[in-house]
Amino acid sequence: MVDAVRHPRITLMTLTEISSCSGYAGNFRVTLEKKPRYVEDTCNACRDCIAVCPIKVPSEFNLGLAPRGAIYQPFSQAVPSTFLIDETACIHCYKCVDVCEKGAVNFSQKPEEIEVDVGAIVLATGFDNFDAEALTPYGYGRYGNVITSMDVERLLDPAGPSQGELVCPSDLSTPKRIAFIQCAGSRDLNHNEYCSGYCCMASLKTAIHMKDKYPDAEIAIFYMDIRTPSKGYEEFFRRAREAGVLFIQGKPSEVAPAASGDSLFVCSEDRSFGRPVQWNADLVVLAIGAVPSAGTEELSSRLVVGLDENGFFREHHPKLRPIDSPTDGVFFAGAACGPKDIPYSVAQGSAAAARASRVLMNDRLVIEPIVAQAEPTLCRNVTHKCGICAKRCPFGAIQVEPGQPARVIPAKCMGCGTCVAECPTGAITQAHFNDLQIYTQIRSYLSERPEDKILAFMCWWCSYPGADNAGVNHLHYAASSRGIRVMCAGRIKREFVYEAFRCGAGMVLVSGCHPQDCHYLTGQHWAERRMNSMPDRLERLGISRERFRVEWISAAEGRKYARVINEMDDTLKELGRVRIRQENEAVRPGLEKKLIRVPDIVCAPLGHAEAI
Amino acid sequence: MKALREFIKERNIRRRARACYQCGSCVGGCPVGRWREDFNPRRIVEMIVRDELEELVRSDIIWLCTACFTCLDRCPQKIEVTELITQLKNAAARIGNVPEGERKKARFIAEEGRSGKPVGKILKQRAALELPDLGQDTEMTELKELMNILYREKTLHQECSSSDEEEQVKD
Repeated sequence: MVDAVRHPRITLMTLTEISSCSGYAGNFRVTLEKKPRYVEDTCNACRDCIAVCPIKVPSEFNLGLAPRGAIYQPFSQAVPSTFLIDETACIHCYKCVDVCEKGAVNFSQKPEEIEVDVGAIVLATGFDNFDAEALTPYGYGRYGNVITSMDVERLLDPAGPSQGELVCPSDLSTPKRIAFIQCAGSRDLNHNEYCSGYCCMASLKTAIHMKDKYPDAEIAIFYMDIRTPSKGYEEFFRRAREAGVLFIQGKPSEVAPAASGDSLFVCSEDRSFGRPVQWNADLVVLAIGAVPSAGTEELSSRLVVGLDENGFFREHHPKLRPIDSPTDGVFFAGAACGPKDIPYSVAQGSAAAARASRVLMNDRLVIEPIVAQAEPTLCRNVTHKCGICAKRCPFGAIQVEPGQPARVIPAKCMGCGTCVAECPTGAITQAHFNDLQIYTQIRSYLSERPEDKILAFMCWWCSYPGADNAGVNHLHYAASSRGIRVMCAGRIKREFVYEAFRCGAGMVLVSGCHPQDCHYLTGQHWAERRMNSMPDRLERLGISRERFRVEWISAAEGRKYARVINEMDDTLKELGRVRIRQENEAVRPGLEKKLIRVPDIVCAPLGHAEAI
Repeated sequence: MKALREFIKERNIRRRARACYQCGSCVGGCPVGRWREDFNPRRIVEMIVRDELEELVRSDIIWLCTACFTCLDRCPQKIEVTELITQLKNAAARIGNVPEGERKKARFIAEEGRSGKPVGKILKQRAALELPDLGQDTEMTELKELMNILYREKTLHQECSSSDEEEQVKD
């Protein structure tokens, strides 16, 4: 940390929060609010002020196990070493002002607003500890000798509140029997469903440390599973067993006080023997997991970065883009997007720095030329309250202000086309995937014998490679299919399906990624919502519902693609050319009526189709 | 058995029981398990998952459950252990696997409206508190009517009132 603060090209801004952020990768403008420290940088950390401060409040760093003053240094290695004043605790006696030789204490400091232009943003907001008081049966906060894994870290720290001596908080005696309760609040539907991952190793480490220091102490770890999947971790588990740590498999049901004294009973099952056990302990350590750090939600709304179901930041793709946020130029490091141990956090920090430098090192940002473009004259938002496009965009690439036409920020647009499909006035188009291009493809595929054809709309990432997979695996499927590739299923308009049937298509398939696999986060969801009502709509017009199908096909599912096409081909043959042609003839006026709203391009005369 | 299977299917019980990761927090908190090691709710859930219902329904172990709901309260996977055991008890009652004590209790409720007869000290305490004499305060006709509405199916107190009926139930 000291290296970072001394680095000439690193500016460290503590007590500072992001209040807003605009712009895009390479060109962010971030507004920061710097909170007053009330101590100038001239402070030399001589501690004279601490001696005179009459206030004593629980120290956050020591988790309330030690006090601090209203003027304080969070911990001795804190960076910068400049002290600060806790405004909520201070009684303004000004004793610190009198005693400071440097005259560094300055109560006239006000919150400052700072604007910075940056190219990339790395979110390393860390995690908070799970609140163990929520675990009522374990009695944290009720029984003095029930502590958390973080408390025990402070107690075992040589510079900590007990100078590294392990003590029972109730009477400061040395505990002889210590119980660890694993998964306290984790893997629990009542609290956090996820596994925090690091608690097993943390408890093993602490147990070995205790055994080294107090060889006579009896230590039991109550566990469901010990999870030690990383390099050298399993060996560490073995070391703990050999050191004489007792491992009892069973999740304790409760911690009960003894009839007299401060000792406790851990009530659990001992699964090795399939019987209940009441293990007498002087000290109980709850191995608590991680929860999203306070303010994560607020920050997510200011940066247009989504959260996952547990409240951590959501990465762009859990496997392929674990460092990137959906907003280009914003990256994650460490536990901001999920609990992580130290090696993994360090690796992710380095990766985030590398990803950020990729943005910074270039003079120009190269983007795919498939971005959405909004035509201001057609935008409905000018006269009405619309903004549908901005709501559909998962990347925050569209700005909509009341009375103003929607504006697409090209650098933020990933090119899924969901906004294009959802725009009620057709004001948005997608370059290289505009409506005219797609309608032209539809018409040319259906120019000859359309009733024998299956027209398949496919997304770029999953279902098209799925069809490709069927090909490279030499799987046989009906030759009647014709594929139209779009970037995302979210781009597929209902009108494309109508136009296909107007041109006389036999069958229409809409395909895309599986739910949650969408490369544009929400495109598949909107496509599904749009297409769900399609069979009913077509039936009302007079098209048999079996002539339209929606399937989610992944890139690996070549077999599924072949099966779907073959099934559709069977249906096509079953219905027969005559019936399909009759249906199509009957619905054409209805479809033309539906498509009349689309300006210019659609109701152009049918080329070869009419000749049939 | 059939009703039990239907119930299990209807309420998706086996699927929900499959979520059990056998942590044993139900055993650690069970007030019965502390005195009877052969009563192990975790094992009962696992037997449900592995479809060993027959064995459970024929055993007398399930009748040890006092339905205190501590297991549900402590279960990290929200599995309704007590509810499962209650349903097993219902199935056991249908095939006549009911301990004598439970029969007596059921009969007593049907006849007197309470599960036990207060004696000695309790009666004295009641007198000291000037509570009404027992036997007068329970309107049995109304209670019986209610029980008939609530338990149209064969229930414990009916089964126990005649042994012929029990035979029928077994069939």
